[in-house]
Amino acid sequence: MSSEPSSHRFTWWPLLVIGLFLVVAPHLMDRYPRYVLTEVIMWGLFALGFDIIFGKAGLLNFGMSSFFALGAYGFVYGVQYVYPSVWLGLASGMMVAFVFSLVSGWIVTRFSSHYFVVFTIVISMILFLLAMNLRVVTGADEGINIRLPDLGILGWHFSLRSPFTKYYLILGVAAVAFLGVRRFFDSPLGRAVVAVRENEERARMIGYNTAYLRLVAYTLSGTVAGLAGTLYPILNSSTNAELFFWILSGKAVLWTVVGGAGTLWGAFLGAALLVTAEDVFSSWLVNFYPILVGILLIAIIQLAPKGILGTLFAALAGRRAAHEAGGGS
Amino acid sequence: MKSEFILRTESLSVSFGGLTALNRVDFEMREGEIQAVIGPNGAGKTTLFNVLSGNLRPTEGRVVFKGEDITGLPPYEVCRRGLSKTFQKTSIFPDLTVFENVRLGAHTGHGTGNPILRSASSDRAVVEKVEELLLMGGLQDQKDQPAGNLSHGDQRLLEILIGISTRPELLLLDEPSAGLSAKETRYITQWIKELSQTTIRNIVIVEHDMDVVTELADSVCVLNYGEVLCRGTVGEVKCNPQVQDVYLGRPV
Repeated sequence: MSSEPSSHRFTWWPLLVIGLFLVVAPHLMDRYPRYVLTEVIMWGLFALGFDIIFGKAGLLNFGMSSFFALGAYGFVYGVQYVYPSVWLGLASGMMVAFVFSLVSGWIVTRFSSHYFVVFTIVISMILFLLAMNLRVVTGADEGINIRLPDLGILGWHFSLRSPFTKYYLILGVAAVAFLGVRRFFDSPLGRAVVAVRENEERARMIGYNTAYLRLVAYTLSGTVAGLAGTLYPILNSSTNAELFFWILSGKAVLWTVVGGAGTLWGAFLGAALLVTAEDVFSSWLVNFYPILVGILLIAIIQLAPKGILGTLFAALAGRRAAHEAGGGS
Repeated sequence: MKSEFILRTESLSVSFGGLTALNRVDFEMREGEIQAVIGPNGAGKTTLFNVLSGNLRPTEGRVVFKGEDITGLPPYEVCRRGLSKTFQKTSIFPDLTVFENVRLGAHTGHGTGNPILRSASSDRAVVEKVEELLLMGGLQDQKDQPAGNLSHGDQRLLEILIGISTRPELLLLDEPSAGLSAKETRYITQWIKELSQTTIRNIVIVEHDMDVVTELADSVCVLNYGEVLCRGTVGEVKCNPQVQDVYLGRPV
């Protein structure tokens, strides 16, 4: 696990630089790279959901795809059958993921280590099989297409047929969620979640209900992943039952671990790197590109065992500590 | 007469299968005293501590703390009621900073306001308490270091600081001198003595080092095979022939 930087060293400029870049970027890009960037932000938010439960709470949830898919279907059903509003879709998708993660979390957070992992896989496989067989409800592998309503903001209407509207909506949702999650892990409750990861027995002995804290982390993680899922139909005007498949859970694990588990930023960096790499490699070598992606993964994990940002932050913290020790004496 | 004891147990028994770890133990702790629990290995000292702190549910009997039955409550509830425990094997949060190690406990004892909507480092009452505790332990210069980087002696101090950060009324110290050199042991003994005069009046201490016991304890409880062998002042216990037989050895 990465060491935890304390909050008072927080610096604003990286946030500002990255924020500015993301606001300007779509105007400097062609249609396709713009689509990939939009997709990367969505996948990054999904991986952020995984980083909450894995990087911060130390629990390997291998069933993240369920939350994402439920978020996507929650959006589609909300918009099609309740009221044609994007905001309602975001809320209904998140709500479905929230309720599901609360209920499933209530069961699985009682288990630890391997039992926990196996339970999360089993639950997500059950959901996948259900979704593939309930063709009437989910459309199975063909999915459901959706006509997106206009995005209304304070009386203004923006068409979601425009890739720019899609981009800024997805960026906005991801940014708000990211800042919220950062804020949470700076709060006493969020720090307590990290304490449970670090030493559960001690955390319990200094007054923390650790089972409750695990459920909090699990539910927050599932809700954020579900929110990412609501962005899928916004981006693609459709959803399908294959989103429930475990391979999506596996991708969340890869992106987070490559970017740096527990860093929150790492989820986005990992998604950006691997989604782009897969895209570029597959256009070069249609049949053999997974080999190149595999080589890239091995190289990253060899060079940066804590993930790219995890290793970078640890090195910076080490240098700072050495500097302080030298300067203090 | 009840209020005289801050903590007592009523015929406390713990069995693991066929093994009886504690057998009808009546442990009593007066308000304002430091009591030592001694006894040979396997006498049930750690089992007793684990029952008192809520880590272990007794097979029989009750634990009464401040006149309230706390038997079978989970550790976090016991802690919130004012009973704190430190561990024999150092148990800290190694990757978190020294400051945050203490802050996590201080939040339980001193935290105010909403636990989500504000930053953990913005609660003045908590931060001041943490600074005070770090100063008391002499760890203020290392407060931004990961706790795992501290020397073993400093980790033992941090262990106790975490223990008192929750603002307990009673502190259970499980072998605070474990793994320390003779010099470090003398230091931490004096340090605990000062602590008992300034910060926390009620301490139960499990200890093998009789010098530490002699220096700190107002009274001693001797356990052997899960039963209370005898109790009294340090002098009384040292002269007891039974205690000499099972634990201390006879003076030559």
